Amino acid sequence: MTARDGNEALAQLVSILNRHDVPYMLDGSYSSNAYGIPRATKDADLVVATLGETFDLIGSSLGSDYQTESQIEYELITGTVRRVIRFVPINFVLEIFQLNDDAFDQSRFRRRLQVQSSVLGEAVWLPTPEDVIVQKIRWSRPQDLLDVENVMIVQMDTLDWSYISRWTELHGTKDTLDQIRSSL
Amino acid sequence: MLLDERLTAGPQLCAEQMRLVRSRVAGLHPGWTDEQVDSEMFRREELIRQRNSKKYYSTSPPAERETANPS
Repeated sequence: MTARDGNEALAQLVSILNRHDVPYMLDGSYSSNAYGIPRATKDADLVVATLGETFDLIGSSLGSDYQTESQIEYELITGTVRRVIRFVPINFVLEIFQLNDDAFDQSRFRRRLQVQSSVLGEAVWLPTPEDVIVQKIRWSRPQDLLDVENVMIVQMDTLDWSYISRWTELHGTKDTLDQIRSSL
Repeated sequence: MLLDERLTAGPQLCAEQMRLVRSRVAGLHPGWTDEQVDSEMFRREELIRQRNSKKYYSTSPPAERETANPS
């Protein structure tokens, strides 16, 4: 990495998590970029199994370039707890989410895959492309739906559609899935 | 494009986007110093972030929100 960018912050965070065997996975735009058509992002989202302990570990391990925010926040759709760490030099945000008890959250975390990243210099854990689609349709924010389209366009022939259909039916989001799929 | 390249492309694309926006802001305010342009960029980013935070997150736990808004 030559210029400073968010990958520098993520690489440091992932290195700490890997070194301490903390179960986690990358979520949000990093995961949809991995499987779809990459877009610009100013933050990295991670899901961890134990947020309190992990946040303390991260806070004590990262250097003075990082600022932890004390405010705890709750995602409005699933109620997931979020904590925020800022990489001050370039104002890049690391968002850490608690894995919740929800059946789908548990399922996608169990199914996560490890991939080696030479850019980050670390092995990182990612959700499967099917789980990225189901989760992003569940959120259904405008950017999420564009991300879903892009993942579908790139991964179309390899996706397990019965798995995606099953969860979207349970979440009441199957119509959205069908609309996006039929528009491609 | 390899998975690793796609995975890590977001912040690099963002850096390029920010460079273009910064150039635009500097062009609109030719008398500004680099520090003033940086400060304006930071202010805009924070506005976007706060707007998204308010839209999609709450500082109250879900149970408290349900009690406060029973409908």
